[in-house]
Amino acid sequence: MKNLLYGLLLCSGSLLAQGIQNGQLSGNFQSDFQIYVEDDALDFNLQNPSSGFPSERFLANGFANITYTKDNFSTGIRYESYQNALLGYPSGYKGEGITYRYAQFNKDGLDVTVGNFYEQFGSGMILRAYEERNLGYDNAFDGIRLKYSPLKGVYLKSLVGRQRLFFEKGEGLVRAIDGEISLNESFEKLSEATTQILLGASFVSKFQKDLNPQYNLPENVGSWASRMTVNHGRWNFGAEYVHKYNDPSAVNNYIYKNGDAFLMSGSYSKRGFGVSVAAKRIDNMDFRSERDQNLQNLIINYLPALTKQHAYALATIYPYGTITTGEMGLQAELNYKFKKGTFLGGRYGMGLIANFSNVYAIDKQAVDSNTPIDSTGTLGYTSDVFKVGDEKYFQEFSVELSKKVNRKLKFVGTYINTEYNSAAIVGYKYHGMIYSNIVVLETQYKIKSKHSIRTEFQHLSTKQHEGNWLMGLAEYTISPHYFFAIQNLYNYGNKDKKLSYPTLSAGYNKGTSRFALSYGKQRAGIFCVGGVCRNVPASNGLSLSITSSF
Amino acid sequence: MKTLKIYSVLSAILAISLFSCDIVEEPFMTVQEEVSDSCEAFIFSPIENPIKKVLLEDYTGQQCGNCPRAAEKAVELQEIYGDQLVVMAVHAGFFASTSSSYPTDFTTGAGDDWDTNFGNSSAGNPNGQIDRVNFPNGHIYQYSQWGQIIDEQLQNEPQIGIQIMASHNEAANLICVDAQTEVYNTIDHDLNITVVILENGLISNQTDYSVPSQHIEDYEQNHVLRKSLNGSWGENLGQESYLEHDFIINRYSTEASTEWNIENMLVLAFVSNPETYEVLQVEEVHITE
Amino acid sequence: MKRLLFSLILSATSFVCLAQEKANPFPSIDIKSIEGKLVNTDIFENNNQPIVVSFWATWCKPCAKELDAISEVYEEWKEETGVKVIAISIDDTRNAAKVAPYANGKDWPFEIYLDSNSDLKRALNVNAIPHTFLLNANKEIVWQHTSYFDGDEEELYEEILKL
Repeated sequence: MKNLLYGLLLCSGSLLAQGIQNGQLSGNFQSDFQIYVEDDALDFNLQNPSSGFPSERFLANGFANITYTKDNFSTGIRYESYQNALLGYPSGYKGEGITYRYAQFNKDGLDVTVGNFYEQFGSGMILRAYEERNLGYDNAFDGIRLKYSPLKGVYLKSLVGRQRLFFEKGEGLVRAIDGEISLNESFEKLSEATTQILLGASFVSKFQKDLNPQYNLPENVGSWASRMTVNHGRWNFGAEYVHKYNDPSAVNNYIYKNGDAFLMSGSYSKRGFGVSVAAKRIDNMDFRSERDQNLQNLIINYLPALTKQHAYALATIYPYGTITTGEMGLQAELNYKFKKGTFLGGRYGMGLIANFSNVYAIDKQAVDSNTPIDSTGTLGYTSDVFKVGDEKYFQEFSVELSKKVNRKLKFVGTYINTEYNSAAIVGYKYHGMIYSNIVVLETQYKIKSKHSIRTEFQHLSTKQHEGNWLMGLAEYTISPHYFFAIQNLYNYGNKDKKLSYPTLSAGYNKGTSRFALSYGKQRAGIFCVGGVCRNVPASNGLSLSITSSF
Repeated sequence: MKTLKIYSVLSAILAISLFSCDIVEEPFMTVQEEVSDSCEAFIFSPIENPIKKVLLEDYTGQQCGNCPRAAEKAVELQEIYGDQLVVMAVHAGFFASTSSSYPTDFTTGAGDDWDTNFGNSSAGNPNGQIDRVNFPNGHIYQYSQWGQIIDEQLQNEPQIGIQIMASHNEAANLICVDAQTEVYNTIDHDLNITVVILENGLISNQTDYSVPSQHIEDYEQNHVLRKSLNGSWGENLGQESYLEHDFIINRYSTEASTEWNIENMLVLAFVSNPETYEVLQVEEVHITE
Repeated sequence: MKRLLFSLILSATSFVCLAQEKANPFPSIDIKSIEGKLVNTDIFENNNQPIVVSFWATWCKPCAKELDAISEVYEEWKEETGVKVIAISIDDTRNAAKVAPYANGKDWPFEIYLDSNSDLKRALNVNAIPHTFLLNANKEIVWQHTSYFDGDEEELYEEILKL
């Protein structure tokens, strides 16, 4: 009897194999575990309930994706578990379950997806559903998406769905359509031209019932966008404009003003040299499928910050986040490689990246003399498109030089000067404008074949907020499998508490698998979006992270 | 190498066993305060025209700059709904913590327990619950939604009625509370009653992002939860199910703290379903001398 | 009879094993060229020679190190093996306009594509970048590696030589 059972089991295995023989099965997995340790210096303990010390003491996040593809058909599923979610993750992640499942097939040029999917129209300023697993961001649609190319160079997309909100769906329905035409592909005469032009347009509308006893709310809120990209050899230019009709919501204090967003970018690049400039203006463009949500929940679109994204620890203490109710700014970046043999280039050349960006408030004028700006239940304000607002939100200038001295030694030196309006960006209103200067020196030294040590020295100086910081890091890597690192952030300039955040970490990589273990302290953070502030507490503990794919 | 893999997993397991371990010290059982003899029992007559009242819990904090907007919304809604809307301000979480500029502590044991269970402050302040409906997915509401949810809850017929008599016995420095719960329809689940004390008119510091200095020194905090008289999760009303005309009386007494200004204080009682946390009825009265 | 059944089952299980051993072909996903045009990954070709596909982003320092290291030895690699390196940036709109100037500023000789909404990244089960794939002459994934340490490009080259 046992043999028969074994036989049946193996039989089903072979049938599965026959099916899989023509298709491919793949997947990935990630798991993060953290054990929290009480820490009196950080005031992180059970006695202090507002410290956020988790009574579970051990928190774990995990997810696994499995995808099966065969010819023109693919299907996938994702299981996520937050039992309970690590500190810092949005609090709605509680529990476990299947959060993503889809089936997709492609026949005669029609691409159909049912279930959960991600999508972006143009730059994403009108619609973008995407995931950022490490931040806990996921606004996937659950519905139907169709993609079709009726003529050569013409691409149409349409979707209907509701968005994900942790383990539930938002109430709001989103319907959208996007069309893009690549003129060079569509018109024979242009196919050989050096100038390539792309034009696109989108329309997105969301529906949510009005059950509010105080306001007369629009149930269908529509928005449209048009975009263009022009490419001519080394030159590239792109522009997109989005317009949103009245969308009173919790984030904009229930005003009935229309919203606009405009993004323009241009670049020139050739081997060894590149320059790019970009400008944008956002006016009342927070767009969610439910009007009473805030923080990261149920956002339909994506309004990118036009500031440089930093990786160095001290440079992430004052991060910029787009102020969706209104901002305007520009960015310029220069990338250059000094050739080998020149004075600055030396034997191997020297890389230079210089970046400048700034963000200002938009001009806001009262609608009439009796209505203050942003009064709820009114048109809010009027704004002159070309006028820059009075308040400066952010300004940054940074320079990075990277140089290989000899076969064993490399340097990267960075300087960042930042003006950070903590009142407008994060909600640290009582710290006002924070002026900071950061210097970073990173060194990489190759001790012998496959053994290398990397060190970082960082210093942040500021007279505001928490004062000066000092950071040191040493990382020893043994290619291709191991790394060991020790780092410390020390807030020596703080008048109240001079806190230290040391961390010890080690890891192992093989192929697609990665294990990383680290023990140490993490800084606190405050996160404010749309009139609501969340706090990520400072913490201390041991964490293990495992990721793999097959 | 395999050994490193094994070591890392082993160290994780070891660490879990070392750190995920709570050792509880005495007392092992929560002690219920006995009603003082100095409190006289009150006899209630049935309510003539029972109406449904709704509980709005505003989770707030003195360092939460957006919270004054939510408090203003609660005032607006009270003007619309009058007595039918009962407001309780729960100070809990990170933004309710004290510091050199914010020395007063408005947090309470009950408030902290509720906040940990319902997750209000970790979802970002300000926010609130209305009759604690829709737990665990969808019980936290932004203040722009409060009106809509209160309106929905007020459509419900009252299944029970609550009457409270609260008095201050100056001689014994006690606050005596009598609460009677009367049932109007059959209810076939458990019921818990939670009785708390609130204080109005507390002048203290508050962060407010709408003023240039971002800080108000003499902000008036109202409906502040000060203490629960019967623990964070209240007391079971004693029956497995309830029939029309059932009534249960609960009596409490507590020492009046010297910090309290009794004139500005109220007793609030709400009856809820201990499994779903949903509040069936709420009542509040001023403390009489 | 039992023996026949047993041997049938055994051959069936070996089928299962074989199915697992087969390398996955590179998926067919729409991404964008550096000029912003929609292209499908089907167009990746190298005359039946190996292809290296590497995921990077302008904010990912180890990714830049990996591509810098490969670019230094790229000429030699091309001569010896005919390999082609394709670098796919997952930068979204925040940084997409800077991808071409960045790659050119670093003097990278690779083909650059943009996977702004991470469609290819998801299809290839990439969790963290840098993540590098090696495709054989039949565009099947024969080797892949995540993260980059100084000297890892040597391991990649050894794998390329195996083909």
